[in-house]
Parts: sequence; C-alpha cells; structure tokens
Amino acid sequence: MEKLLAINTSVARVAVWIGGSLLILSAFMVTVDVLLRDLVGITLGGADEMSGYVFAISTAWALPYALISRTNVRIDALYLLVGERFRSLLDIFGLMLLGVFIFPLTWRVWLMLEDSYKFWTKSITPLQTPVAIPQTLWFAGLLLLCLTLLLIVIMSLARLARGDDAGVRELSGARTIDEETQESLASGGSSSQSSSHG
Amino acid sequence: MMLAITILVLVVLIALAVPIAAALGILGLTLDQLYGRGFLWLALGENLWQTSIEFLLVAIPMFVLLGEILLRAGIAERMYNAMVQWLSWLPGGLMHSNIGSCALFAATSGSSVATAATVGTVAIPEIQKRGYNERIFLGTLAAGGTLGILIPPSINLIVYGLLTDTSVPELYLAGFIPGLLLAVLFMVTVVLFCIYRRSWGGTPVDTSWSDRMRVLPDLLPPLGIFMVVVGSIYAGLATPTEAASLGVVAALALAWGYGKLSLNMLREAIEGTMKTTAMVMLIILAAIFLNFVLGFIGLTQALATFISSLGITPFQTLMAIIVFYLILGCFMETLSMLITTAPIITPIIVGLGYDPVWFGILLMVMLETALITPPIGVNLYVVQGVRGRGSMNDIMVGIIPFVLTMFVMIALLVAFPDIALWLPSLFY
Repeated sequence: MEKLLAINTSVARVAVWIGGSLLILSAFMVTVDVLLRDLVGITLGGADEMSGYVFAISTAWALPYALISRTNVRIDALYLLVGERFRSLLDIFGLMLLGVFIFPLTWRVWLMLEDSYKFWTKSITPLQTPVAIPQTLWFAGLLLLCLTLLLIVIMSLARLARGDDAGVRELSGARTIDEETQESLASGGSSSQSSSHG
Repeated sequence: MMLAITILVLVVLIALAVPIAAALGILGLTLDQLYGRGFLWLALGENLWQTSIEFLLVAIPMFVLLGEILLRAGIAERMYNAMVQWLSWLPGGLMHSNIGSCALFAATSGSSVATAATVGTVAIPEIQKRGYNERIFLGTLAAGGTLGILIPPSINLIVYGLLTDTSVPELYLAGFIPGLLLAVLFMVTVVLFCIYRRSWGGTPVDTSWSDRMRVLPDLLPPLGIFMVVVGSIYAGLATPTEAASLGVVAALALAWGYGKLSLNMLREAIEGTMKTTAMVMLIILAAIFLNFVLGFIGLTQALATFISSLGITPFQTLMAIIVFYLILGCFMETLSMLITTAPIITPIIVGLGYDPVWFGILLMVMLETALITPPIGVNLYVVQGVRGRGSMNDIMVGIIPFVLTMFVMIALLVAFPDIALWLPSLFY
C-alpha cells in the first residue's frame, strides 16, 4: 500500500513537471506570436488554440499531485471545532464525495473521447486539430486522478480502522493556513530565507 | 422549493468541509437529476472540455507562474528596502513601506498569502528595532496583503469576468484607481494614528536623495513587469492571457539577470504553480457545470423573481447583498465565495440596473475585506504565522482600523461609481 502511494506520488510529480514545462514553452510561443503580430504584423495563428490544449492537459496532469498535497479548498469554520476522530471521518467523507463527482465525470469524458475517435472530430479552426489527440492526454490525467483518489480513500479507511487519526490527517486532512504560510516562506521570499533553505 | 433545496444542499456540504469543487459538482448533478431530468449530464464531458481549453483561463497559470518566479528571484526584499527609502518620511515610517511593497508586490504576484508572508518576513523584525506600535504595524501587513485581489492583473477579476461574461480588460481598467485609492486610504489611516500618538510611528529611518536614486533600480523591475503586463492590455496590444505570457517571459529574464534562475528554482516554481492551478481549475470546472445547470432549470430567474416579490428598492437590495457578503466573508475563503456567489448574485444586481463592471470591483473590495475579518481571515493567520510569537489578539485588534477603512472604500464605491467606471469609460 505505502509503496503504491510512493509510486503514485512520483508519477504525479513527474506529470506536474512535464505539464509545467509545456506551459512555460507555451508562454514563449504566445510571446513570439504577440511580438510578431504587434511589431512585424505577421499573424502565425494557432498559438491560442495550442496553449488552450496545453493548459487543459497540464491542469489535468497536475490534479493527482494537488490531491496528494491536499490542496483542495475546504471551508474549515466548523471542521476546526470538532474532535480529531470526527475530523478524520469528515476528511474521508469529503474525499468520497469528491469521488462521487470525479468518477462520473471521468466516465462522461471517456464516452466523449470514444466519439472523438469514432468520428475523428476536428476543431473548427485553421489548425483543424483532431481533438481526440489532446483529449486522450487530458483523459489520462483524469484517470490518474481517479486511481489516486481511490488509493488515498482506501489507505485512509485502513488507517481509520487502526485508529490512526494522525495518519488520516497526513493523507487527507485539510491544510492549515500555517502550513501554507511556512510553504510560502520556504519558497524563498527573502534572500536570507532562501539561503537557509538551500 | 428548488431554491430552498439548492441552498440547503450547498450549505450542508460546505459546512461539512467537503472540498468546494465536490460540493459544487454534486449540487450540479443533483439539481440536474431533480429538475433537469438528468439531461444535462450527458453534456458534462463536452462542457468540461470546452472550459478546460478556454484561452482566457490560460491566464491563471501564467499569472501564478509569474508570481512564483518573481518570489523566487528574491525581488521582495530588494523592493521593500527601496520602498523604505521612498516612503518612510511619512508619519508612520515603515508602515507605509509595508503598504507600498504589498501593493507593488501584489500587482505582480496576485497571491495575497504570498504577499503578506514575504513582505511580513522582511518587515516584522523592524517592529522592535524601531519601537513601532506592534498592533497597527501588523495590521498594515495583513491589510496591505489584500490589495492583490483588486490591483490588476488580478486572477479573481479573470474568474469574475468568465463567470459573469464581463470583459476582463475593462475590469482591469476599472480596478486600477480603486486599488490605488485603497492603498492611499490605508496610508491615511496610518498617518491619522501617528498624528494622534506620535510614539506609535517608531524611530525614523535615515534617507537621502542619493540613497533613493541608488535603490531605484530595485524598484524598476517589478514596475517594468507591471507595465509590460497591464500596459499591453490597456494599449490593446495583447489579451490578458497574452499579457500574462509576456510577463512570464519577462520574469524569467529578470530572474536570470539576478542570477537566480536554475533548474531547481524552476522545478519549485512549476510545482507551486500547478498545484494552485489544478485546485482553482477543479473548482471552476465544477462551477461552470453548475451554472449551466442553474441556467437551464431557471434557478437564477426564480431567485430574481423572489427578490422582486419582496418589494424592496434596488438600493435596499444592494445594501442587503453587501451585508450578506461581509457576513459570509467572516467564515468563507475568498475564491470559493467568489465562485459560488458571483454567477447567481451578479445577474440580480445587473437586473436592478447596476453596472456589472462596477459590481465586479465592489465585489473584489468585499472579498478583500473577507481576507482580514476575524475569525476566518486568511491574512491574519498568515501574518501571525510569520511573526511566530505573541497572541493572535494583537492582529485581531490591529486590523480593526483597516477593516473600517475598507468599509469607507465600499461606501465611496457605492456613492461614486465613477471611481471604478471613469477609467474604462475613456477606452470603451
């Protein structure tokens, strides 16, 4: 189990790097497009469509990592008032409901993808991209998200059964503002800070 | 009935700390089954795909990335020290540098947590060194950090524009003057306090014109990036997303110039960016599907009819909505608040004859207020987290004058809508 999660985390992390790098590349692509258009008057076209695809794919590929890092926004006004055991239950309940939304969604996307392949649909733009290609990559991200969610829920339930509330929190608890602040600081807001963090 | 069920489901899910994205998505699926005959869910895949490739939204990861790169390029400390030279002659000294740096950093980064945290780290050690009134000083940090929501390029304004079909460049023009005005109002608040009690203002910093000129190069890069991003939008040379991409390239160049560009740094910036983006996008995807359902089953219409049946004037309705937001802001996180309410409230406001661009700006000021109203004001906890000692009460007390200042700002916007609408009116 633990090993599976470790593998899952590494895969999710690599997916994030690839997605993010593509996004930086598309920033350069859009910049070139804008400069050529405004300074030279040449329109390449297609940069906006391409970066739309890159955006969709990189977002989907980042979802599993965001889930593992517990970045989901939750309103914790009441959550903070209840005991640890009850919080663990809320954590797992919340993740299960996320599944109630994510699983049907992924299934609908799968059906759409089937159609895109069957009819080999092309985008109504000069590029005429066969949408099945970006959609497949997008779907891959959603599928990984479903698997990650399943794994985290199962592991959280196992830890709950063992009475390990701290373990549940580590997997699926809501992030505190303190954690976020420390993370902001660790990112090297000031030079002294960044040197102490390497 | 429909209205009651919708609100009940939403409130219960949110109160149980269910992830916001799941709460919105499940509400959409439920309403579709109850009132839309399960028809809309057939379009879920296509609906999500179209939102996912929306070019306007590409601006979100770009702006987040821009902020992450600047943060790691270490511009915050340079900028703060430069601001000290330029602003600390005012009564209240460094407190003005806090607000000024927050405003400028917010303008380029767009994240209020990062803004309050980074400026706070540099500023907080000065409290004791120079004998400031600690509470007011902490208040300036928490309040200054909120400016990012309003001053363009704000991610929240993009989300508002998308959800309510309002032009983002127009919103960016509208947010500029109110953002500056609010920063000035914060400074006026500090000055008033320091006239009342001279000792609260700490010992002055030595400044000279030669020092000011010497630190100017530290102020120019963030200003330059701000000009590239916002200027290209205002001049009509680029769309918000294109401008954000230009900003990313400029920020990379700046980080390279400071010798801070490395693979490690890029990797961290990417991780931070993608986590935020994925989180925001999941909520937006769910919200857009929910909107689609709400529009189809006529819920927005039902709510508007209900409000007009109450027989209150448009102005009273507006007041009720403002009070609603200020109360909600004490308990809810800002982005969730924006996404869950804007698509429903904005049509009502527009139906009453108010301008959607103006309301967008008013809403941003109310969201800023939410960031600093106890008990759940994110920025208060961020500043306390950076401070790492003493009681939370100091910040809760220190923030009160600034919350009141925000109320003044809200009143000004309601009384003089032109504060927001004048600049866009020159262009459109």
